[in-house]
Amino acid sequence: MSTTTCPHDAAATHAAHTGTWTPALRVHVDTCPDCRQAVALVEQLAVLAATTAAIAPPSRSPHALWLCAELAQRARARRRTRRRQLVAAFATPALASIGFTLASGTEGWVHLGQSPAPVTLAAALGVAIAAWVMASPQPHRQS
Amino acid sequence: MDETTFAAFHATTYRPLWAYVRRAAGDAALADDVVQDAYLRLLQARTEGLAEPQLRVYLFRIATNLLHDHWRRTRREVTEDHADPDRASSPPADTLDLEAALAQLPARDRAMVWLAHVEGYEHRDIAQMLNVGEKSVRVLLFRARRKLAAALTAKEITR
Repeated sequence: MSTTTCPHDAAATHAAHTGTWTPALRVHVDTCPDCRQAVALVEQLAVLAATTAAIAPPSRSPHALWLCAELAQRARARRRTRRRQLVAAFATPALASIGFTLASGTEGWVHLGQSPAPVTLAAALGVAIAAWVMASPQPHRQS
Repeated sequence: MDETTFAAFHATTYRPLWAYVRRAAGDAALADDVVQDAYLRLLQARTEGLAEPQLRVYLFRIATNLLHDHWRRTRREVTEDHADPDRASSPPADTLDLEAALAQLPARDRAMVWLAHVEGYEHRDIAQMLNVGEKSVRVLLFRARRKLAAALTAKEITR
């Protein structure tokens, strides 16, 4: 038997699977042991597949699966919102204290003739985070 | 995908998918869990614009990935149990031989043989599902088939 694949084995497998044979392919399979083996395997596996599918237990109803997926999606959205709120809850006071610290230091900067840009930046970040939290989608309430 | 479309898709894919996972996993209970999880993940994925054949490939791919995750977790391949209750249905003797020979193959080979020879997927689709190169599929499939033939021959000799 050869140690390399026959270039026709995919075509032979496909033909055995679909039943669409060309005369040339049929002749080739009769003379090629690898393709013959592939075709025989398709036929044997079809029987095994049929017996296996026949013993498949009844599935959960598609409706139940659909509902489960819906609930999972809602739970994920809820977790996402909670995470954002948590971030906001920690970030806003942190930014406020940074702003306060910087604002306390501006007196010195004003004396040095510099603008208090960090305070403006901290305030803008605080506003941006608050806007982001407000704009985030609210979770569905479970009935 | 709306609920009606999903119900129709489920009706046509459930048994083939279960049979694939059952044979690839070698475990009926695991097959139940994997198949159910695969459908749930499919429903939560963004599948807008996918035609049914593509959805089917996607579903089989999800199931294959779930099997890989399971095997990674357990760090061993599940082998067929000789006291398998599924065999109580008494399939033909040739089928039993093939079933036992298939069970002797490594998990990836089992999956590959099933996807190519039962589901009739093209090498490109199998490559996507099993995360291997498209060109490798042909060679790996050839080797898997060779191993399967050897296992069947060995059973014939020892009979």
